[in-house]
Amino acid sequence: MTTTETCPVHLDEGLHRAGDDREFFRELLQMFAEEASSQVERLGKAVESGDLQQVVRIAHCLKGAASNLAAGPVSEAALELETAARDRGGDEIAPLARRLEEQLEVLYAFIREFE
Amino acid sequence: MRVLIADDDPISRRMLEAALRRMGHGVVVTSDGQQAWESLQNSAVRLVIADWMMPKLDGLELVRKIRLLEKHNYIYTVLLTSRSEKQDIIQGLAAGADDYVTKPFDLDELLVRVRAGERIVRLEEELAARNEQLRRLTLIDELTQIGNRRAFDGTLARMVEHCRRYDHCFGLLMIDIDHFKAYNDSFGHTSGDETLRSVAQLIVGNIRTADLAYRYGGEEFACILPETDEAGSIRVAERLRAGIEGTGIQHPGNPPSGVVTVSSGVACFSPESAGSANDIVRLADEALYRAKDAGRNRVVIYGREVSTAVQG
Repeated sequence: MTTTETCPVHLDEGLHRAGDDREFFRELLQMFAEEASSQVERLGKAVESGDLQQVVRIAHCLKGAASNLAAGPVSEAALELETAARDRGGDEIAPLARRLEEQLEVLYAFIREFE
Repeated sequence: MRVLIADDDPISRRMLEAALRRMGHGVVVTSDGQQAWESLQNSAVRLVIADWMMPKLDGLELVRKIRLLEKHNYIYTVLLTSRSEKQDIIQGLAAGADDYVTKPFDLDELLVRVRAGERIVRLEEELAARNEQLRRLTLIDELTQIGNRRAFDGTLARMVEHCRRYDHCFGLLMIDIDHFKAYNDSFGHTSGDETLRSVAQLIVGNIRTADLAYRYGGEEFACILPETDEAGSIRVAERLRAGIEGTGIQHPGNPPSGVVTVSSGVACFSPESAGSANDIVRLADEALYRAKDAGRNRVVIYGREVSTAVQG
């Protein structure tokens, strides 16, 4: 495991949220992975077509789901994207979306390893 | 307790469901407000946890609709929201939510809030059950355990209303135990009470399933006979009269039979004759007095005597 800053999930907190049931937490993480990959696909299209409302919606959902699992970095990246798409728009969106996808990749790797 | 979850986030739904099941609650899971609203129609849900932001019907609207429901027991509502501004909280509570939890929710916090909700729900249930018990007590005659005067008045008023509107008829019997004062004087009030109970039971046992029996007061009883015309009402009254006489409860102060007997006055409500609840009671009462005047132990309808005991 890497340092705390880059750890994709705050494990103690995440487990606690799942009633300290490791098996259940694994189920939730896998649910998230499935859910997130379909969202990311839609996010890509929304960013491409400049549909900011849709970007806000998707980022908002990912932020909520990730924070339920104590997946801090994904949640924060999603929040940044949501805020930018809502308040500012423009050039920041594509890089922030990419940043969110990168964080998600790190989280997927964590989920694949998690037992 | 049955809890309904309304949340469009599948992970949040799954976490809530698991946590509530661990607490021992029955859980109904829905993914938007509209689905939640439909599920509420046919399940005994007592607590709702609803996400504020949902497609179709949002949490706020769902709570408003729940508060307009009248038939249900109280439904305790908790809003889940990522909005934590004071204005939002006020708006949520003003819509009728009992509580709110900000997202991402802390499971421990949510569970103690559910427990607080459960206490309210239980209190309300107890109160409702106690009220129902009291309502029943106010409608039942304690001595005979049949309907009392208050129940009679209520049912009669509804019956008159119903029959007037839908062109139906019903019969009314006023039944009085003959020379009951003399019975009490000879045997004492305890035996008198016993006899009142026996007569009440005989009446209940000799009317048809849809007929209703009441203690009108003292030694007087009343029967409401739905969908029954004059001929039918007389048949029932006569069956009761003969049944009570045939039971042979000793009553030396009631010659010539020397057993407990009753006199009955019969009146029928028909849409043509109309009249109020008071009118029909007055008619049956007048008939009852005629039955008494004519020698007791008989059935009279509007002054016309229709049956008499066979003198033995």
